[in-house]
Amino acid sequence: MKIIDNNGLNHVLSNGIHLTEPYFITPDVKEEYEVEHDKLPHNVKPIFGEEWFDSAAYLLNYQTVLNRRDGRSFYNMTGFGDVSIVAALMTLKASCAGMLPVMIEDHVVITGDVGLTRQLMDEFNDTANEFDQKMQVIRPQDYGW
Amino acid sequence: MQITVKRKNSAILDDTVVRAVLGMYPEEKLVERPLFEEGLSGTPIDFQDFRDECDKILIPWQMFLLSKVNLATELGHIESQRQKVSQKLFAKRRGNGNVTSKRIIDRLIRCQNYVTTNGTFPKHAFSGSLNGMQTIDAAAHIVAYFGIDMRVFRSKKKAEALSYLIKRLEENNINVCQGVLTNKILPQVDGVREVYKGTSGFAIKDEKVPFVFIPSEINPNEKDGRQIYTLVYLMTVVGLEQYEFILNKDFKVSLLASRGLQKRIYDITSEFLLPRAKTEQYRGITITETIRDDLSTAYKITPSAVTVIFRKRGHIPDQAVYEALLPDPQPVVSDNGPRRQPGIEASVRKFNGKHVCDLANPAIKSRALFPVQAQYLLFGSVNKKGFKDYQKTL
Repeated sequence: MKIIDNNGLNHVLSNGIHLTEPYFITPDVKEEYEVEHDKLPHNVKPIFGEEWFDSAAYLLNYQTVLNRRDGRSFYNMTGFGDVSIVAALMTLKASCAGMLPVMIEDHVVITGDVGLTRQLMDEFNDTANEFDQKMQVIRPQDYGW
Repeated sequence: MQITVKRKNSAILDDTVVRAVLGMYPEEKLVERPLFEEGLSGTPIDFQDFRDECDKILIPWQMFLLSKVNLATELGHIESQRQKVSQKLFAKRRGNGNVTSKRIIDRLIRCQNYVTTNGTFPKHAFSGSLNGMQTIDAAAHIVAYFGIDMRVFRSKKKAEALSYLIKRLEENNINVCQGVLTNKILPQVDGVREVYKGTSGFAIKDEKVPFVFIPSEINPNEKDGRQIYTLVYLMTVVGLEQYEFILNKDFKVSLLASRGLQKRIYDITSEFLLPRAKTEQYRGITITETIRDDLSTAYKITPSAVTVIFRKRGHIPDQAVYEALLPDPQPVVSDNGPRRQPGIEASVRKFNGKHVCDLANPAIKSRALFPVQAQYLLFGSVNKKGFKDYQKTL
């Protein structure tokens, strides 16, 4: 599964990349994106609307991350995209609990944001956990589109 | 307060946090809104309904998810970003409204901080310049300082005369903000609009760019003549630097000793609008409704203001005659909002004022001001459609 943030989306748009597989965005990333664009690029989907995504758990995780993390500002309303991505991955990780390791797919986050990358590395660094092991963060310019 | 997503229990909001967030603007009584009343009484609230409600009242939904400690930190953060807020003094013209919207003050202080941080303005020479002047000289100084051509001002209809005055102020570094009901500049919900109907005009002190706010659209009973009066009143407040309230860090308002200056402000305002030299021409003459209304039209103030001025200048000593001359109270105008929706640029410009837009617009184009920051500055919240439409006008 691929999750992309605004940094990644801007890279896609500015390089005219045609996406041939689904990429998911979180609600706050969608909101930030829609400030400047009318519609999402082809094959970019909101994760919150997907039937298989536990939206109730996501909101709980969002609340947890929001209260744990710095780097967001209500004055400028920045940093919430990062909160939403971490919360989404926590939700996906929980949904993988109890699955056979081989059944857990790779999760890729496409972002060039240094702060978000650091948060993800801090959050998903359990070497004994298959989800964490398979979670990757790749910069847009390094991703094999 | 329990939030559900697709009927499944999800986040629980701390009730004291919910009340504290809604209490940021106590005059709007947001806690009495049905959704929050239900939620605080134990009814689970659907997340989408909750988000929609937060959109309507222009408060970020994420703020409600904070813990008590984090909310306190956040509000402290916001306060420190406001910089000079603890020293802001403001005055208001009491009228049929005795409400000062903290939301509007908060927005305008943010705008004022933006202007003085990002613009280059000299110290405002008009502030305090009326002190020590006789009333007639003070009124003349207002005319001279702002380059007001009184013949031009009086030749216009009241609405155009108001626009003319606003332009003179703006060209002399006073930022004039006006209440707006369109384009989601302010919350469009019923209870909040009732609050705004009672909003009075006010001025916010600044040594470089004082701000004045007149209710305009948000108070339908504020006719043009009354708005002109309010504007001149507030110009006089700035000129005397007689701000009657201190706005403390927690937005508590403390009344300073007024030192009997209300009369002084009134005298200068009246002299500017209807000079004593003119009313003296009626000394010994019975003031009729015709005289009252003719002067109202000619001098761009309400018939009520004309009557009060004559009374205060001793032309109508008899109380019964005075009361008979006062116009009948106007029926409360039903609030259907403005008849047509102006363009987004007009609404943004009207609420935020010339100097805010003059600085923000190029910053938006160059991305020195990021879209989310720009929305909070100009709209007070995220307003994607509004901001997109606004960008197209730049």
